[in-house]
Amino acid sequence: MKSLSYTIINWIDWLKYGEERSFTEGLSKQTVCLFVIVSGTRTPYGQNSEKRNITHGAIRKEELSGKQTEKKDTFFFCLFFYFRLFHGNRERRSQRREKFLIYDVIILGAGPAGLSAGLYAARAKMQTLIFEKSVVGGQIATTHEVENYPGSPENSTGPSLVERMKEQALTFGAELVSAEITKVDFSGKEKKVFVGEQEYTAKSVIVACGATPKQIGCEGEDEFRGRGVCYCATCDGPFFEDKHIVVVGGGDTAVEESLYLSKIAKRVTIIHRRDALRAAKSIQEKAFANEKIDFLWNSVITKIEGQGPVQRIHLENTVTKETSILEADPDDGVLGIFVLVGFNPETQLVEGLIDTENGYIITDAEMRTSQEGVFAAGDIRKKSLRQVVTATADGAIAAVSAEKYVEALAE
Amino acid sequence: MIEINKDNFEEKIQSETIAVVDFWSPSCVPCKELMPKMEELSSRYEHISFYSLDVSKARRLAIAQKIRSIPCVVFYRDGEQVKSFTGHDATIDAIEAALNEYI
Repeated sequence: MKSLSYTIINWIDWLKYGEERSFTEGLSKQTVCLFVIVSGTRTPYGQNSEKRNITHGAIRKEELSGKQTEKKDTFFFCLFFYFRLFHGNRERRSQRREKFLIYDVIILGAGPAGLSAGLYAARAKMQTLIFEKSVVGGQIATTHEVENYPGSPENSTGPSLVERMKEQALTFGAELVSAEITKVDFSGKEKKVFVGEQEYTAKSVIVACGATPKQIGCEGEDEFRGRGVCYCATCDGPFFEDKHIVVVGGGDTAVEESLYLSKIAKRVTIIHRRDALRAAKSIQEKAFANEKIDFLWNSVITKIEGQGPVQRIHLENTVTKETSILEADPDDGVLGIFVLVGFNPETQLVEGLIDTENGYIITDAEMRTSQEGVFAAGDIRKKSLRQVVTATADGAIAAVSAEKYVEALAE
Repeated sequence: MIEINKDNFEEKIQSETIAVVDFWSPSCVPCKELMPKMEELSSRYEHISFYSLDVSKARRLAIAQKIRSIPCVVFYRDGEQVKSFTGHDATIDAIEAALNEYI
């Protein structure tokens, strides 16, 4: 009886502290407890005062190494190893459980489209998981000013808008995971999404991966990236305080960011391949009225050069084919080049799995793609206007369509 | 990760082993996304010195270090740059891979 009470005390002790001891790592707690109890009742070393004082870890070690010679113990050894082998440890079990958890919807991308879809799905009480590989908010996270999103307060910034969208989606119970999806499998009824080896399963998927900034594609662009060639005005603008900055592009982003950069730089030159801007009229007017901003029309950059930082760029006129060189101001010794020439859809992941046109995913008005149970939203879709407001609208429609689809599955 | 500034930067990077500096600024959203991942990385490599430096308070220093774009993660050995990651290249996987290469 003494040995029995001793092992029970050990057992309780171990339940409390066992996890912290390296000796018990990887062992199934209950299994070993069972073994300790059962074998303890049959091996009367409890009489021995010396052995009573040794730690229970050591006792177990002794038992496991078979110093107790009773033949019956062999049976319990077998029992122990059986459990050890087939029941695994706690960590592995929880991983398995995670693998079998089926989400109602998995959303790829946490830009305005993904966050809006997440908000609508979570409000509809769907189990919602959102993946984002880099920056929550996508393109608007790096845009200084967003003045055309309805209801935004004056001077509201991209990051603050993103933060509110994110909080709203999370409040309703959407889960947000920062990880890069490496593979997707949409073929079955259960849609599978992989992050390396880890597998996630959902009844439906919303693809809202958005678009990544395009490069100019000229000589020297990669070489000078981070040494004068930049893609994020709010990040890198301050490095060119009181210097000459060149902005490449003519869309909303390019002109808006030029206005922002004009507050930092001494001069901003917008280089555009056509003779008119694509940006909204109101920001065009602001740019034309800004004394610090000048324009180089019908021009493209063909080469970027410099010792250390960027010092000169080679230009070509798209109409006359004349070439010219723009040098950095000798006082500055550096030229800042901000490339804001538009975006490429991030469709590599779903290429060949769903229908696309020029890289953009084709959907119907309900955001359904060619693959059943897979929806698309935001800039990744083929559509005529790519704005925050159209992205969030897409996200809402996609989430409601996914909800209807999942409900139909259950019937 | 330890926050450093323009005054103690030089002293901190003079190390025979690798010192990793994450250049960031409060207005840079991608930097803020990278920061918690760097924190996590630094907790797994406790024997490596990880520093963060706010470039909005040390612009001259950053430019002297030839940094004109952030987020920028630079590896230093004996005060010399041995490897750097900027912008889209500054992914945590790429940084960890390089870290394993240099330690």
